[in-house]
Amino acid sequence: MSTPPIEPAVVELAGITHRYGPTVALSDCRLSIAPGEVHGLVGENGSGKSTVVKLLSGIMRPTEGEVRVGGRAVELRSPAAAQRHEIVTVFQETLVSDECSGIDNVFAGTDGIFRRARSGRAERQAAEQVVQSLGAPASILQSSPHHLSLAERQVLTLTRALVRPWRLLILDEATSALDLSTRDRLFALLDDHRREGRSVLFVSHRMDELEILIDRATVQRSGRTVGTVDKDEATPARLLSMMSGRSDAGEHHVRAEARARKASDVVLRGVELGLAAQAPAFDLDVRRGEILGIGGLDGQGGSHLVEVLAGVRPSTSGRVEVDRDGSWTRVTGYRQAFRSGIAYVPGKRQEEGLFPSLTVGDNLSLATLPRYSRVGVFRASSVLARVREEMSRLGVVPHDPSYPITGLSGGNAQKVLVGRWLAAEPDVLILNDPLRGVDLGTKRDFYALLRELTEAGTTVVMLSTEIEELLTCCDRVAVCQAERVFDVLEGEELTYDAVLAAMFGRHVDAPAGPTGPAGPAPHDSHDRKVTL
Amino acid sequence: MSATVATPLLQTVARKVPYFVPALVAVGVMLLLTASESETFLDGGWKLVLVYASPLVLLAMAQAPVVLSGGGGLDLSVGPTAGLVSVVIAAVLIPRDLSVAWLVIVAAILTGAAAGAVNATLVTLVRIPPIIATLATYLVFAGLATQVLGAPTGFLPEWMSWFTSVDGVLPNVLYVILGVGLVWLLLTRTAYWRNLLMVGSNDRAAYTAGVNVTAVRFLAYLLTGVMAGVAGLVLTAVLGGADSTVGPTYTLQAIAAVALGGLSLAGGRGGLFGAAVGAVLLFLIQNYLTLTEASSFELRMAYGVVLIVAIVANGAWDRKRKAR
Repeated sequence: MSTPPIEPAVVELAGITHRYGPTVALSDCRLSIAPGEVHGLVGENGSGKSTVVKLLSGIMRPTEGEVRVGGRAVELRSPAAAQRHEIVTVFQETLVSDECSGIDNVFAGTDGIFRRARSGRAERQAAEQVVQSLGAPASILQSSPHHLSLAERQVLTLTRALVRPWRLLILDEATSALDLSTRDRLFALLDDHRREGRSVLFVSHRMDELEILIDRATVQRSGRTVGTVDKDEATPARLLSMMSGRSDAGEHHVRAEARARKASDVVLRGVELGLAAQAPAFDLDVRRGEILGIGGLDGQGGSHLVEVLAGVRPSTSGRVEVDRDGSWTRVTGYRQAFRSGIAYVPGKRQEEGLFPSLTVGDNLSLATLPRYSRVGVFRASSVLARVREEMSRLGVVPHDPSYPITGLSGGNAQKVLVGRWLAAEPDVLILNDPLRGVDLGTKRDFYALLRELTEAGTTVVMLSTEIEELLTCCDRVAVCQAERVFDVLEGEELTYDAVLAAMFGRHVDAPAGPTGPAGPAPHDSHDRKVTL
Repeated sequence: MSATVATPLLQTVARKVPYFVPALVAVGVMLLLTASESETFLDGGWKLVLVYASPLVLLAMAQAPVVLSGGGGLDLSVGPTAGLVSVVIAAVLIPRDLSVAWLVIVAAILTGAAAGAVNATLVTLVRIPPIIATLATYLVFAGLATQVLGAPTGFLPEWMSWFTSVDGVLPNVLYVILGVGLVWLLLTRTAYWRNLLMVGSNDRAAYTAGVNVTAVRFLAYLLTGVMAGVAGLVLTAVLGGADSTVGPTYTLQAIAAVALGGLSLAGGRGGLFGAAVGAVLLFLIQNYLTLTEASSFELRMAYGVVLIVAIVANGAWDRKRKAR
């Protein structure tokens, strides 16, 4: 384990215990952040890391123990108090008001109730500088954020933190909303700040980001601090095993053996599809029983593609067809797609998927109720039996159909959402970034579940923003770039570098192997084999 | 790529045009209709209409800060507060010969502020949902007013007729309304405006950014109370006395006026000007229907229909504006 830093810690948690009623969220938590370091905080959901973030950002106060800033015990009664101690936080949710301009969003909270802390001009200058260093146009500060992309909205919340005086910046999964280029700019910016002695507490599920950025990492498991490790020790395998308490955790990174599917056995296909007005058309085949990953940077068409395949959004040109007993049926809308055996699980589970006022059981059985009903009336007991069966198959915790859906963790809620459509026994399951912000353990369970499904003959199309995830669980990966499928990678060609390159519209030289060139990337054959 | 796609015209309009413009256009239409129906309207009649509309205008303006503050912000007690103020003036101050102008004005504002403080405490500190908390104070204030003043009275000091005078170029109540507007305008130049809109549209974002959400909302209820106090003063003058049963009837009209004026009942969007325009619109509709000798039942039905149309149009407008 690490040697304690010589300088006094910027922020320190000493023997913190936090209870919500009878539940112990955090017990004897120890965390010490040195000046000028990027400190990783990792752990699965329920490990207590979000509690740590809430304690440090003044949203909650600990039941027992001390928060020390610069060696002195302090009480952080509110986010404003935390900011007075120069602790600023950026959360995973992009907390932006649509009714205020970008600049008001950035500086809200710096003023008194009436008194303005800075002039409008000083505000503009400070904000523009930060926004531009993150690679976003200064225009996002002027208008109201309605029409901004998720990444641009997150740039606003990052700017909100960075324009304040700070010595500790907490990034709570804040990078998951960013596109790659903004993220890289942020990392470069953080490097500069680190040299000036400022510290960052970096909470992330992304091993690749942790590897790039951190100096030390603290691992949490089930509300307890497992330990703090230095950069050289903090390999993904080591962190994972500390997180899970299992030694086989490194296996997560080993790619499951991709199975070759017959290229001729196509279950769903896009013919001359156009995703946007100016974008070139492309063809895409989904093979029976495979897991087809859809990758790409934010806003490059990946999300549009899965929505078009599922019939939720019309394509600009071309058509989507599904195989129905040997003949091609055109997909015209999501209801018709559902009847044709395509189930779609939307991405933003809170907004588009779950019914917060209903129980877990109701949420799970919603889509399939008609199957249990006779003349519109269904028997609660038969539905309940099926629900219980589904819940144990999916491994939903707690195993209680009457539990409120809002009480579940993100990963478990996602299982319920997927389970709802699985109960309909679809031929093709289309998932829109199902695992954003879900912990590793749940992810592993989820990958295994998808494998199981495909063994049983279901075909899976899954959008993911994480390259590692695509590599871990997909047989083939279609990478979207500029509103089209740029390349389809499989077999030996399917590597981290190749996916990353394709996201940026480049091809890497495929290593020589028995597998031939990957799927078609029409309309751009002239620039194939450009090395990144 | 979104930058290159041309935005549809309606969306651009919805984004560029301020929230209160539809109501303002409707007011213009109603003015034309009224002028065509009544010969005296343009020839000074409008001043009298404004005098009668002024309590509603002020109460709609009073309603605005709490609605803007979000979190289901609403003050059902504005009507009874105004009623209580008129009772305090007519049944407490005047019988004791405490009818000096400054004293009456201060008393009206303080009574309103006290009512606002009670609501503010219940909503922001005790954390009772606004609709419940202010329904309770609605009943309490209305009951208190009737307790103090059983039967209507009509003795007012001479100076109070200033409010209802239409001898000048502009009716005097307009100066009161503009005065309240001016104070509010000054307030919007401070950080409070930003704090209020932030809290009203996304209180989690505001809280984590460091805004004191409780203080901002508390102040919104207090401001609502103060303005309801001013409205009570004007109401007393317009009625020419005090009647404990009149105040409460204004509450629902004030809320309807706020919706008509284009404010979002969910909070965060709008302003006092829109609320005032909405109130004028509501009053003109009522006035027009009276001119055309519609029955009081038809009048009420018209209110309901207008309200539904306003809220539906409001929602459609907002969707256009927010479409990406």
